[in-house]
This record gives sequence, C-alpha cells and structure tokens, in this order.
Amino acid sequence: MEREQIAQLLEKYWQVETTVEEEKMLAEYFRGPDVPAEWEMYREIFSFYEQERKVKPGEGLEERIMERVRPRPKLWGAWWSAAACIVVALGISVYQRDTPTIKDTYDDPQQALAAVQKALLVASRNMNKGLHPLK
Amino acid sequence: MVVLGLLLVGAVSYAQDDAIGKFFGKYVEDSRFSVVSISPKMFRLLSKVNWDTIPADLRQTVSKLQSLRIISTETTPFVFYKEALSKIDMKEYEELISVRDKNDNIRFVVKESGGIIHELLMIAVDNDGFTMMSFVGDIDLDKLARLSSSMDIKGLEDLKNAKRKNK
Amino acid sequence: MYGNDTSVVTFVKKLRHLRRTTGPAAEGQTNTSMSLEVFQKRILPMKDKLYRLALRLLLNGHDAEDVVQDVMIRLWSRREEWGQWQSLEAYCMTAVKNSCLDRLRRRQLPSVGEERAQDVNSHDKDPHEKMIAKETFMQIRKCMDELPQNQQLVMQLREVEGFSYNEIAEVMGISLDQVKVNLFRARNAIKKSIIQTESSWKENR
Repeated sequence: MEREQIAQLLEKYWQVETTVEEEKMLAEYFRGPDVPAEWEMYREIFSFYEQERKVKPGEGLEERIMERVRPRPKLWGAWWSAAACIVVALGISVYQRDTPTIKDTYDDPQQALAAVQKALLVASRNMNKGLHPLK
Repeated sequence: MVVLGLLLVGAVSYAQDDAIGKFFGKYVEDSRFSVVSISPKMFRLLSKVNWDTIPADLRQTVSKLQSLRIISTETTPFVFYKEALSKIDMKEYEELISVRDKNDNIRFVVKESGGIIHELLMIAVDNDGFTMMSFVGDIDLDKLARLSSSMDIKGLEDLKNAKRKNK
Repeated sequence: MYGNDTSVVTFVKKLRHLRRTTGPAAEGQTNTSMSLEVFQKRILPMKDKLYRLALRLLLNGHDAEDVVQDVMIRLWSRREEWGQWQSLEAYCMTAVKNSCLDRLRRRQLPSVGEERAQDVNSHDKDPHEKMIAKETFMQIRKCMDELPQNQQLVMQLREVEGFSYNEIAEVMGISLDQVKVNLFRARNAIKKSIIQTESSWKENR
C-alpha cells in the first residue's frame, strides 16, 4: 500500500475514525518488511496487539468443559447393570407404574389425541387389508 | 439410558422391555428413525380433552388405551423389519393377521391374557419404509377393525381441523 | 398402505409435524445432540477470546480459565435460550466480563504474582535492536496495564479481538460515544508513552 494512504489511515486511526477493515489494513502493512524508520514505533504497537491475540488458555480447559457438558457415557459398564438391578429389585413399585423413560412426543393433549386417531386409522385400515384382501 | 431390566408383572405397565420397547431403546436417539410416544400419563390427560367432535366408537377405543408407541425409518427398511421381528418373543405374542403383497409386509401380533388383548403390535414394511406400532391397553379387535370405515370420512375432517387449530 | 398416501412412514412423519415447532420437552432427545454440535462448533471456539478478556482483567491465567469454564458450563445449561439471544458471542463476552469484575471486587488485594502467558515477540534483529524491541514491548504492556479499566476493555475488544463499536458497547454496557472516547484516550496514551520511550532511547544511544 502507498505510504501516502497509510499516513492518512494512521491519522484517522489516532482520531478513532477508522473502520475495522481499515485497521486490518494498517495491521497488515505493519506486519510487512518495508516500514520506514519513523514509523517503527507504530509497528511495535500493532505487533503488540498481534502478540496479545496469540494468547491462549491451557490445553486442558476444553476437556474440562466438555466433561461437564457431554452426557456421561460411563453408564455402560457391567457394574452399572448390576447396581441398577439391585435398585430395580428394591424399588420395583416405583418403576412399575408410569415412569416412562421415553419422552412424550407431544405436550398438548389435543395434538396427542389427533395422533392417536391417525394411528388407529392406519392400524384399522391395515387390519382390514388383511381381513378382506380384495376390498 | 435407564436400565431396561424391569419385570413385566401381570397387568401391563408402561414397560420398556417388551418387543417395541427394546427396539425403542436401541434406536430412539438414532437420527434415521422417527419416533412417536404417547405415555399413560398423556392418555389420562386426553380424557379431559374436548370429545364432542369425536365419534362414539373412537372415543370408546381411545378411552381404553394406555399407551401408543411408534417407531419408523426409511433407511434399509427390510433389514430393520427383520431385526424387529427377531425381537418379538413368540411365546408372549400371538400372530393375528399377516398380509404379504408383492411389495409390502404387514403383520399384526397380539399379547393376550385372560381373554383380553393387552397389546396390539403392528409391524409393517414396504420399499419406502419400515414401521412398528404398539397399542397397549384393553383392545377390542372388532371395534378397531370397524373404525376405519366409520372414521374415514369424518375422521379426516376432524384431523384437518385439529391441525388448523394447532398451527 | 395408508390409503392415498405413499406409505406408513410418511404418515409417521406427518404425526410428528402435528406438534408445534416450539415444543421443547417433546424434542428433548434430538435437541441435545443438536445443541451439542452447536456448542462444539460455535461456542467452544470462543474460549480463546474469552480467556484473553478474562486474563486482561484478572491478570491470572488460572483464574481466567476458571471463569471461562464457568461461563461455558452455565451457557450449556441455558441451551434452551440460545435461539432467543441476538448474539451468543456478545453474551459470552459480557458474562465473562461480569464474572471477572465480581471476582475483582471480592479480591482484597490487587492481583500480585501475575501470570503472563506470552513471551516477547522476537524478530531477526541485532541484539541491541532486540533489546529495544523488548523494551518497547514491555513499555506498551505497562502502559496498557495502567490504563483505566474501561479503556483497557475497549482496547482488548477492539485492537485484539476486532469487535465493532456496537458489539463493544453491548458487551460493556456503555454508549457508542463512550466507546469511542475510551478508545481515543487509550490509543493516544499508548502512542504518547511510546514516543517518549523512543526519544529517550535515541538520546541514550
């Protein structure tokens, strides 16, 4: 980029009149090799921000976060089934009633009813297909 | 996933280890499958809904149901059909009707005790997909069979209205 | 199978469409895996930015990591609300900022024993120049660290992270004009401090 343009951008920069893109242009210019001596200190400034941008947290942070977020897969071990069987044996009255482990598809009884009707219709039709194949 | 080691004791509970329950448990989070589940709790709420627009025989049928579960897929339907069939313990279920066309297969099996049908299980497959549907409750097969003729015209109208209301 | 429709599978799909699209509980299972994907692809990558912000405020890497971890986990527990927020990024940055300010208020003493994660940038220069570069670098850092908190935040968000004025205003809870005033003061403070350093070096050469 032309020195003239850069000089203008720099002026705007100190006056807080540059856009994000213009600031990116400045940063890129100052990363390059041909920076005149009198602008050396500005190069240091932009370089400082770039260094700051490279700062990253430690390696383990992501893992620590994901451990709390992802549902734990550790329930599949043999010990879990054994333990759970004991729980079931003790608390069978709790499980016997309606503790569905599958979530209801509908929140609204009206919609659920519509779905039930439709399902019954399908089942009924198919039954008739079997009972009266020529119909 | 909660353990599936429930015991089926006498009368039917919303058990998760019957034929469709096993299938559900395996594929419920698999994106290839569509699942519909209406629990006993929801069926109890249904009875409080506005029944006026619903024909009597349908009302009676629904009021005696405890649960509805449907699982369906478009992916390799015949493969899953075979798998589903293999999960049905023929000691517990009795075959009711079987339809076999050139392109599709529909099977109905029922679970009966003390002269009452507790569960009706429909397993159907064609080139477009595979579906397994389970009704649990006190099921009257004759009534169910007659439903389609009476429901056809009126039923579809009501369903359209229900859809419009819910949009 | 189903009268005029093509198949039972279509029928089941239609059954699912009966429910309203905004039913949260009903979509519980599929939504968890979707949310997880959004979390891993869009939210988790923000951790670096968030860490830098926290570090600037807390000056302690360990604490900064804690804050980021807390904010992200809290965010996950509120995944039902993600759709309602304008900008997940702004939300996160604000949350981190607030969390840090809380911690600072609770701290008795100003942070001693700062843990700086970065080493000085070294170009291929002669030793004398390298020394000057390091000096300048340290000078800029010192100047930055001594700016008023709001100015530091604006600089962090603009110069380092490249946020727009609007985004900065949102995260900091100040007006656009205040953003610009802070930026003006900060930029020129740094410029001034470095010119003084530079000229003093020149004199001593």
